[in-house]
Amino acid sequence: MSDLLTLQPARPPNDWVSSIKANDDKALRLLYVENYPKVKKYILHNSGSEDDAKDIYQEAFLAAWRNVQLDKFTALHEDSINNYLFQVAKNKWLDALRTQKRKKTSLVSEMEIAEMPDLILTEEENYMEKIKSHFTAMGEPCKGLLQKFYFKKENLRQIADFFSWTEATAKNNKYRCLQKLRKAVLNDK
Amino acid sequence: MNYSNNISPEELKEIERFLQNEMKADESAAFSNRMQADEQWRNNVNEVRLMLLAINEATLQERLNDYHSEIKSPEKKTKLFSINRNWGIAASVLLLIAAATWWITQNNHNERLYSRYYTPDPGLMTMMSVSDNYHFEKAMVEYKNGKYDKALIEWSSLLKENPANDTLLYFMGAALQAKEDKTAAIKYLQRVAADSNSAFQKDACWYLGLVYMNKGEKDKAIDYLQKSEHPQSIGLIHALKQ
Repeated sequence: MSDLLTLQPARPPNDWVSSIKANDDKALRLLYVENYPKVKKYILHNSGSEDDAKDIYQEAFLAAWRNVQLDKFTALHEDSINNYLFQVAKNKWLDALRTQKRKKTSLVSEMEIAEMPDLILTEEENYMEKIKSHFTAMGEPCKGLLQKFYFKKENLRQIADFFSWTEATAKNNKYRCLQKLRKAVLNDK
Repeated sequence: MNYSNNISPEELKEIERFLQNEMKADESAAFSNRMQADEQWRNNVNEVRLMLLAINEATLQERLNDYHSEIKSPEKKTKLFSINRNWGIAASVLLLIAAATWWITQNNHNERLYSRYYTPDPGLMTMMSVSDNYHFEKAMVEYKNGKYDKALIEWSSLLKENPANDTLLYFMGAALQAKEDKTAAIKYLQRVAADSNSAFQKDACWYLGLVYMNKGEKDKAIDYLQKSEHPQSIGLIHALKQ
C-alpha cells in the first residue's frame, strides 16, 4: 500500500496534543511510525541492537504519551513533539547504557553517561504500574469494557449495544470492573 | 497515600466529570475547594486519576507492536511532520493520483490483505484415546490435516443431533472458509457471531470480517472486525479504511 495515502500537511502543534490526548489511533500510529527511524539510528550507532531500539522506543513513546496526558508537555512549534519523543528515547538509552556499564564502540562520551540521574519510581508511578499489570491481566468483559469507555471514549449507548446490555447495566458493570481492579491492586502487596 | 477508601458510583461519576473537564466553572471551583480541605477526598480523586491514566497507558502499550508492524525497513523515510508548503502541494497532487490508482486496484488490495491476515483457525486439541466426543475429535483431526470435506461430513451429522452447538457451527464455518466457500461459511459463522454466550463469538467475528473483506463488502467487514477485538483488527481496519 502506498505511503502517499498517509501524507498530510503538518498540523499545528495544538492539534497533535489534542489528538494524542484523545487517543486518536491514526495520529498515534503516525507519530509512532514516523519517529522510529531516527531513534533506531541513534541507538544502533551507540552500541545498541535493533531489539534495544524497539524496546527503548516503545518505553519512550509511552512516557511521552503520559506526559502529554499530564499536561507536562507544551508544543511550541510543529516539530516539538518529534524532538520531544526523540529526547525521551535518547535519555532512556543513555540511562540503560549507564546501568549496564557498557563501554564498547560508543560515540557517546563517558561524561554524558555519568551525568544521567537514576530512574526512581515515585509512589504514584508504582501504583500506576500495579494498575497496568492487573488491568492487562483482566478478563472480558471488564477489559474490553474499560478500554471502550476510557481509551476509545465510546459513549454509553455504543457500549451497551456492543455487549447487548441496557445502558444502566453498562454503567453498573463499569463501576464493578473498576472496583475489581482497585481491589486487585489493594490485595497486591 | 491511602487508596483503600470507598468510592461510591455517584462519587466516581463526579470525579470523572471533574477529571474530564465536564464541570462548569463554579462546580469545578467547589470541587477543587473540597479537594484542598478534605484529604480523603483528595486521595480519592488522585487515585481515580492515576487509575484511568494507567488503564489508558496499558491499552496503548498493547497496541504498540501493532504500530511497529507498520514500519517499513530499511528505506529512508522522509519526516512528514516538518513538511513545508510546496511539499504539501506536491503531496496533494500525488495523493489524487494515488487515490485514483487505489480505486482501480481495490480488489487486488482486499485479496492481498486477506492472504496477509487470514490463517484458518488452528483447531482444538484432541485426545483421541478416551473421549465421549469421538466423532467430533476424529473430524477435528481431519480438519487439522486440511481434509475439510471429511471434517464437514462428520460434523454435519453431529449437527443434526445438536443443531445449536456453537463449537460445531464455528468449526464448520472455519472449514468452509478454508475451502473458500464464502457464502456457506458466512451462514455458519454468523450464527456464532450473534451468540454472546459462545466462547467463539469474537473469533467468529474476526473470520467473518475477513470473509466480508474478501468479498469486497467493506462496511460489514469493518463492523465485524471491530466486534472481534482481535489484536490484529486495528491494523487491518486501518488498512481497509485506506
